[in-house]
Amino acid sequence: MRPFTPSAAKRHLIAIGRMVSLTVLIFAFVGIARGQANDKNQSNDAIKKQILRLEDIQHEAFVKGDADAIDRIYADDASLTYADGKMITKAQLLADIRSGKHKLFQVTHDDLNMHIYGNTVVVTGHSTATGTMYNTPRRLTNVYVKQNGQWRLVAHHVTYVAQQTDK
Amino acid sequence: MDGLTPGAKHDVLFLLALVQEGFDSDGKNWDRMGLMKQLLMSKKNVLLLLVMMLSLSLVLVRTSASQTAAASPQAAKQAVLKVSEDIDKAMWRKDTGEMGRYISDNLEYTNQFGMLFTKAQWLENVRTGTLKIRYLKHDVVRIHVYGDAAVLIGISHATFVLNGKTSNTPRRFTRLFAKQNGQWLLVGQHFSAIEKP
Repeated sequence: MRPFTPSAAKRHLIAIGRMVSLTVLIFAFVGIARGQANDKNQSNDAIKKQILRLEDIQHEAFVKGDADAIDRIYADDASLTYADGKMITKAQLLADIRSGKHKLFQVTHDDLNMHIYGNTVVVTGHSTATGTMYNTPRRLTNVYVKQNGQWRLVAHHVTYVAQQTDK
Repeated sequence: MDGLTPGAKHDVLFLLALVQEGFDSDGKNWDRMGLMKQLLMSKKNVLLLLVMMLSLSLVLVRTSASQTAAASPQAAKQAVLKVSEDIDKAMWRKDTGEMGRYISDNLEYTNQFGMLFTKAQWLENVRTGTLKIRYLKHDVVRIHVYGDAAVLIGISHATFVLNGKTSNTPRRFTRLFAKQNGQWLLVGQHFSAIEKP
């Protein structure tokens, strides 16, 4: 075995340092790229399923009068606007559900569109529901924002769909 | 050394050579910094170091930008309010090019009659005069910012003509904004007429 000289050792060390640096760089870039790809994949598939599931849970909760389920989904400062232009707070909504003032007998959403903007999802759709407060077709907009890893509804706005002659 | 395996001998010789390299020219004092300087003299090593520092800087800048956005909701509210006002001003001037700059291509807009419009339809209605604005006054009631999203609630006192029919009833509106590539864009809006009690 040929013995090391000081200059040979230095070259050896430089080569090792270079390899280590390159390895770190490659892992760093691959890691960043994979992370970004995973984020996009999740927005395309998992997010839509999660939001649709939340919509279903809300329908069930309004039919069953389950205010706790609504409490878990709605942000505390959610902006809630009814079709008559009135706004209510989340606390008022929960009280109305618990008292039976706001109860749905049946609800169906169709023509649902969903647009995802990072941690924000905008859902629009057409709703036909019967309940204690309304029973006419409406158009809705729901907005969800991911907070601390959980999707929360931050805005809900509905509007009566006018008769054709009004359009 | 005789009792060592060939691999272990290789390691020992390498370390001895390094120690020797680290001494100063007199061979008396250990000169660790001198050894580092020699290593840094390699141009390729310096280049690699610069690339690593640049990468780290980019990551730090990205992190810092998101933290800044989250840390200044007041600034975000002002920015959202300005975008909302600029859209209204552009609509009043029928400047659909300017309007389009602040509106996401995926916007969905529900008016107080329950009609749904896309961005293209809205701009086309303004451009062609299908939607005529006679009076425009939007009062902002509140703005909530959630990171890169914002919800603006307001009351509209506009008078407009749509498809030949005039409407001037007060309306509650919700405008939704999302920050994309550093720019706040209107991604949705929803109106409903305020019914008299």
